[in-house]
Amino acid sequence: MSDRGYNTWVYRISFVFLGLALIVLQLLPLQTIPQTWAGPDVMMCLVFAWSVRRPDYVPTLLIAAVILLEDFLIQRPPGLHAALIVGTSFWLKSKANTADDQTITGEIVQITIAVLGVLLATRLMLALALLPLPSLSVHFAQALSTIIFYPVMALTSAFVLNVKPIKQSET
Amino acid sequence: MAQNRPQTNDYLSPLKQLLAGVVILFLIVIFIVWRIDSPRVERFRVMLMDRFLPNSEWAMAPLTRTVNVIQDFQSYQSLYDQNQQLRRELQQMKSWKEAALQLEQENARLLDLNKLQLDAQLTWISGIVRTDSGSPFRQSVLLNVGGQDGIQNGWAAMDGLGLVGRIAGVGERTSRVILLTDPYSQIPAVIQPSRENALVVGDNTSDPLVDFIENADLVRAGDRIVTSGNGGVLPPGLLIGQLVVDPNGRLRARLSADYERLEYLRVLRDYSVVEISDTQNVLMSVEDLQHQQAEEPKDE
Repeated sequence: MSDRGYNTWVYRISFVFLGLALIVLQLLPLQTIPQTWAGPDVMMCLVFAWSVRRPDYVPTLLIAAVILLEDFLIQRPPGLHAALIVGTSFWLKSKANTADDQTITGEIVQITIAVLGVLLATRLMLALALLPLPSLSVHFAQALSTIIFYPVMALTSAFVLNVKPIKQSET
Repeated sequence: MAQNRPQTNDYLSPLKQLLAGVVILFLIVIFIVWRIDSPRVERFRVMLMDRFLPNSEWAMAPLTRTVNVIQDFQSYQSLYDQNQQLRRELQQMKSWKEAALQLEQENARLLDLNKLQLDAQLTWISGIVRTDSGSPFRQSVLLNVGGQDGIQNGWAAMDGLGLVGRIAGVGERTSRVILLTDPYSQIPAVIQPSRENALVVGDNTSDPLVDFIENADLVRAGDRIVTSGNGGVLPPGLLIGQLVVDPNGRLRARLSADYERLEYLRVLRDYSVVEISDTQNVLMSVEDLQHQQAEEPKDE
């Protein structure tokens, strides 16, 4: 038991460091020309993939702290994205726990709903706050590439980082 | 601890739900506070970046260098063509250099005749680009010079040739340059030779829109766009770019600055920028403005 508790903390700390590394990677001054498309939001993939597999590795407070820091550092409206990610990951966690054995298709459908939900909610909230909306094509491209990238992150998490769901028989 | 209890209950327990709710509420409150009192939260953002960046530089510098080397390596393939092209351009440049030298001498003679003195305040501070905005929806870069180097909000950042952006957000050791392509960037400009006033409005594309032209018939594609200095925003006469027409018939600015690789920027010292310290009196009454405009010609 203590072994598992120790393991959980190792994964929580590595989540924080992975998050910081992802922020630094985004900040590298490589892209100073505006793009007509956008790459995946890797951070979102990471949070979602871990939330589905091992909710105890990504507690709510940790997600909130890391995404809020990201919000501040990459010039997003602070708090908005963080609130949406925390809410969505909570929804994913509860889904993952009610279904006994999840299929990969079911997971991808869920993630698609989650990513598109975050996109819509972001635009809705920005519009409500009377802020200029990001261009729809770039925003949508980002959501699409996030959904496409998700399986890569899920497989990496499962087989390289060994973030796998606990089977009932193991407990 | 979690051995005998099924996982199911763990993340649906009322306590967890309550915690998630409180956290979300807290984050939304941050968003609303930012929306209402943006300057204060933005100052916090600048402070955070000031703290974060120097601590992560050890990782960022080599990574940037490596990716750039790989990109450079790809360009070796077209090395011969590039070399030829450069030779041709160099040949043309030589004739321009000759012309420029002659003009410079002539200019110096004329200045001497007039006993004119150049504005000594128009000097610059060089900064190295440390990060970009990180998000595909904002266009800005962070320089490694800041308040301790005397940088102030509102100063112009240029590369060797053209305007790149405007300082917005100064930390102790860093300062942020909002690029002309950023959706929040709006620069008053004048189009030469017709002297039509316009606004260069960033819209997250590589060529910002040129908007609010009074008489669009007087301007043509290829005209030069320079800053007008209206409203005290940036010194007048800085080169922005050339006017082009996009396929939809809208006027855009092809920027002169090389946005492809921003590495070093010059921040022009400009002590005429009005410091906004008292946000309550930002709005000027019309009489004040007319009064000020009436006074201006006398100063020159």
